[in-house]
Amino acid sequence: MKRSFTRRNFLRGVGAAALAAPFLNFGNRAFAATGKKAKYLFIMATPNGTIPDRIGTMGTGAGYSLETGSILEPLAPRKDDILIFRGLDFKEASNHEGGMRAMLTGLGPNSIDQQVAASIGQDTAFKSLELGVMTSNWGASVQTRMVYKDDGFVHPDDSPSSVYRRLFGAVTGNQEETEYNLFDRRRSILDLAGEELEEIDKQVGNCGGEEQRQKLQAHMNSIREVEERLTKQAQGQAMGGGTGPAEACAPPMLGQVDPSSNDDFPAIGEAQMDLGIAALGCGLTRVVTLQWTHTVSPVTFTWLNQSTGHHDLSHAMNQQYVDAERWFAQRYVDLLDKLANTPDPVDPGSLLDHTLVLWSQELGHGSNHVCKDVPFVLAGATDVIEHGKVLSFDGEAHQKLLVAVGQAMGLTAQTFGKPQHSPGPLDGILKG
Amino acid sequence: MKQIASHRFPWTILLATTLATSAVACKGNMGEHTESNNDAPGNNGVANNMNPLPEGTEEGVDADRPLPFQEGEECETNEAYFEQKVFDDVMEHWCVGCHSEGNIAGATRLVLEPLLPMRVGDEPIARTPEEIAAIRARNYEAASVVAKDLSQGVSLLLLKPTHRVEHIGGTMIDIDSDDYRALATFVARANGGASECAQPATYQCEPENPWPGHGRIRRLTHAEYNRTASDLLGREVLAGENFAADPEVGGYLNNAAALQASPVLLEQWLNTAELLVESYLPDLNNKLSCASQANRDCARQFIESFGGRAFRRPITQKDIDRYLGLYDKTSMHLGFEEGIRDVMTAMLISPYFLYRFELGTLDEETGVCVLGSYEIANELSYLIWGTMPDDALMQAAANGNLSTEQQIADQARRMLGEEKGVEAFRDFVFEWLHLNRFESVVRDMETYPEFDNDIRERMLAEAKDYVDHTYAQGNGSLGDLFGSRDRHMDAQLAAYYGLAAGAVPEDGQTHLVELDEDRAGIMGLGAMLTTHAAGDRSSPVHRGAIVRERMLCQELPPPPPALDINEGAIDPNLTTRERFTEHSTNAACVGCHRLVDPIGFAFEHYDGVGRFREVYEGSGKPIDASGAIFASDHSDASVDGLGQLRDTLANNPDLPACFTEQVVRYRFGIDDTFTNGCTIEVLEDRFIQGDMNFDELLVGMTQVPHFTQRAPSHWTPTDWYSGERPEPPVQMPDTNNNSPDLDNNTPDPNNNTTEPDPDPTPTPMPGNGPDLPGMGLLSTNDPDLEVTGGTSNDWGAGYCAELDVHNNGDAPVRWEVIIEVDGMINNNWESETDNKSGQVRFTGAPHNVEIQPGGQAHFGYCAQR
Repeated sequence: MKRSFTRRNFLRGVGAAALAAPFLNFGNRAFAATGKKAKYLFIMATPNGTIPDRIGTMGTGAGYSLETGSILEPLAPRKDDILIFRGLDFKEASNHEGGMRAMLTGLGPNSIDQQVAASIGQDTAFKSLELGVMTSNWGASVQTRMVYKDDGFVHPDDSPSSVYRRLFGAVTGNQEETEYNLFDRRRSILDLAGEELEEIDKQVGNCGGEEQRQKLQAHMNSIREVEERLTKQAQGQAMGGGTGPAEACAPPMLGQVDPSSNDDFPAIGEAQMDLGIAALGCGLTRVVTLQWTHTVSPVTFTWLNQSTGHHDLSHAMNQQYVDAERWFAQRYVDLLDKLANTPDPVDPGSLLDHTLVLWSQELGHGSNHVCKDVPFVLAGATDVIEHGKVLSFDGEAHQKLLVAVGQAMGLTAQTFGKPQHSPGPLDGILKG
Repeated sequence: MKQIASHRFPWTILLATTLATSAVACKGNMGEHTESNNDAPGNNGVANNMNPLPEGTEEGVDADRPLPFQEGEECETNEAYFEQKVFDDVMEHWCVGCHSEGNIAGATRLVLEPLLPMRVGDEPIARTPEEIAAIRARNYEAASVVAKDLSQGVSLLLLKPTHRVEHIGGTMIDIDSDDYRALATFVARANGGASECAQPATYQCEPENPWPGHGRIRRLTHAEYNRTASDLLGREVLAGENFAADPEVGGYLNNAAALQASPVLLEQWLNTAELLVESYLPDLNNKLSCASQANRDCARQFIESFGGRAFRRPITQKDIDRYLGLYDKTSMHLGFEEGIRDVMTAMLISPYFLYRFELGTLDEETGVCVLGSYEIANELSYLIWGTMPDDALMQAAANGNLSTEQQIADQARRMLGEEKGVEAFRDFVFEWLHLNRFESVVRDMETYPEFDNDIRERMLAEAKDYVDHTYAQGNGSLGDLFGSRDRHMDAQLAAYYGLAAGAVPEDGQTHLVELDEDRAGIMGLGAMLTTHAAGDRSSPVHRGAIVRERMLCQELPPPPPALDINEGAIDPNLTTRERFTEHSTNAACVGCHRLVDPIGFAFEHYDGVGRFREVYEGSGKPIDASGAIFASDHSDASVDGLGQLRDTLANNPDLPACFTEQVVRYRFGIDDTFTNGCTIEVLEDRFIQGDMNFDELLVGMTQVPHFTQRAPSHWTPTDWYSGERPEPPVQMPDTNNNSPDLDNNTPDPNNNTTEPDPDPTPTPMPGNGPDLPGMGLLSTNDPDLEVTGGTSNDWGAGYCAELDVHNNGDAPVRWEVIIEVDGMINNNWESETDNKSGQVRFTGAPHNVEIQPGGQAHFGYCAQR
């Protein structure tokens, strides 16, 4: 009756080795391809604007090409699989901070990923997964945050090992070994913390008042969210196999990276990408954001033999800056390739076929601090959006793009963010 | 009584004078705008300027927005209000650059005349008082006309700068700013819509009793978490470095209001706790003497000892019940050590570990919340050391020896005598002057090949060492921090700085060096000069800004949008100063740069990587390090070179006043220097009178009301100073209820660990009477025995029970209790059993087998259903 649960098992549970049972759960099946909407959303963001003249799109519509040496040239192999947007503006926003705040929110209280997650994230352990690569050089501030929920920050996790542990750390391997497993233990521990919060709440009284209670409430909400997550993870694990190919859910092998080391920047990003894809493949989430550093970031592309920080480059507007932007473009291509090489765990096709993949930036002309002609790229979601075009606009509000993203993910709203800027989605994105 | 007004320049608006939506070149400052860390985010981290405007425009003179004035008996005239609150604080900085003769908005309805120099480097214009008065009168008249120009009932003076109507410069003033409120007040007065006597809210500071702030709980910062966990576990913990970053408010990472939990952080705490516990347990036998017994008593001991340290207060009976319940549940399945594991993990994610409590308990008589001994002990410890209290401090709290100001001051001095506070002080200095960014500043390797990682590490070590030594030398003062010529460096760093050969022995060790006067003090540190420079050159902008914002406490806005600060290729034949001429001729730039660049010029003898130079690298022209401070409270002067700039700052009250403000913001975790202005003023005076000694300032901080009391959350500073004691609007749950105190205000020196739980009161049950709560049939071997207690924890699949056997007779009894056990016992304590399920006979363990008359025996068990 009593199961042994030794430390050896505990260690193995949290280690990298034992992942026999993928996390596929009810959700994936329930969600399988009902109508024309994408199943997954993956947003990647890069900072410090661009050089509009060097973006490199030539022509519009399906007949476009990408100029040699331009910022977007690395996308050429995927030219027919993407939509490139030109001429979109952030209305009522400018400068680094304004751009970060407006980029994914359209100046509403929630960023589009959170809006989508609220709709399609209910069944998964993580409603959404926020990944970062050196996002927080000087703390959490409006400069370093792009994901918003109810006007507050949603913090990215910059540490691949932390992400790994959060995603896969509770895997107990040989689950028949114990009926009081790590999930149960964590839930008990969190329950206890919740009891303590209630006890403290009673003591706040008139001395602390509502403001202190709200802090406790934020903590309590966090506990509830993590407890729900543990429940879903436990259920997913108990379900065992699932119907999809096992290779869809393979926790990546992580090398050693230092999340705060400039030189590890590419490796951190690669690990986070792999983790985000594994989270999709394992049914742990349907919504991933990947934030490459932050606006005004001093990250230096030493791997390109550069010695000037990225933000400084954005004001120099020189070839080094173009090189850096090309490097980011290549990361987007890498992301698409990785998604294309990972089968969807449930439905035919690859993850890319079912994932809407957005690349966004917070500024247009980096040196001028303006949020005009801010470039965006969309890809994936084969049956849902058009591909292989440059869509060119003359100062349209980017809220309309966010509306289209929402609709591609199954939302029905005709506006997003500040409603006056988004009556309906942009034309030319959604398949009829 | 003193009038308290905001200490900071009211320059917290986000956008400065700018010209047009098309790009405007502001040459000479490529990438040097101080945008890397402005103070834009509010406590929720969301920039104010992103808040949507209020719905609707039927605002009259914006009357539906509460204006920050109250009816007063006497008031300044409209002209005086305009002069102080509107022109000097707002328009001089944000309007005049364009709205003045000869500039881009010089032909609009609003044309003003500047009083400060318009161009960088200009000397103030000599004017007679009459001339100044005439200019002020004309400005008042011009502004009044626009103030009365209403569009759909709202003044253009409010619509234009907030860009609610077309304004070519874009949005200049945030609707939720002090500047906007000043404008709105002026508009209201100009239109007669509000009493002329309306005055901005001010507080009458009572230096004897400054406003203490409200009760609060403070989440540990990640740095505090690291230090606390390190002290608690006896090993270095650095995990907090990789937690989701702490919020940045006003340049600091410890704002009490902004520090909150989030789901990702909770998971990181949990994962880290599991890892920390994992590494703690292999050595458990050495850390917990009873561990070899592996029983519940030992678990209880662990909960009391480890929990008391983790929670930094005595463990209560409720704590024990709660954690023993967790222990029971886990140990039943998995044994003693796993039970301890979960207890410890839970304690490391407990809010009692992760927060500091400064709530106090309500004093019914005064209506004030009085902080308890352990709350004060924690305040002291985190104020001075940035980590948990030591045993002596906990003992002082337990003995009631933190009750008087003198006792608290004595403890503070004891603690200041230990080296532990050095790291916390250094953290502050590094955040204050942004030296925490030195490690990540990037320099162009072609321009500065000598600035390699080796040198960078040495410069960082030099800076840390300098700050640490200045602080740790007992009498460390702000004067020392700004004036000391002592440095520790090795021969390699000395050579890099260009010191004479042989100044430092070439033995690979660091040695004490006395530098020349010019680079004395923290402003001359290589790390400081480098952090505040640009990629391939010096930067008067960065350097002027750090002085203006962090040493004079006059905050600057970020640069306006649509400003092309791309200067193109740099002409190497120009000196830095020549490259900055654009700032003095372009109206879009002048507003800010006249306040910044002239200070920064004084640093020009130092290149972008902290080395002294006599001539510019490119042109070979001699360095001109003449500069000036304008528009400060007390420090205006022309200066030539870093030494003069430093002396000017160090010899005037602005710097120590600003330093005090910064220390208070950081150490008390607050950003509101307006409502806390009285506390800051009191401490400023003490700091200046105490020869700017750091220890005196910190001791002083333990002597203000904030340290020992709090106002209830519904009191305002006005209530506090006026003696009003308003009742709470809604009756909150009473703090004096039966739940265990967060802080034991009546410490009992004889028992500083546990107190019996007064609630619920056990009801003795007759020996063979009805069942106990949650238990099956029960009987005893002697009618004099009573059994109390019952199921203490039930999770469905199992449960635990705790029981007491009382002897009500006149003779000793060897007790026996028979219980119809639900399920199977897998653990029992302080008892022997004859069986594991069904009818189980419990008898005493050797130590409690016999109960004396009037005595009792305790036992318990857990079972699985």
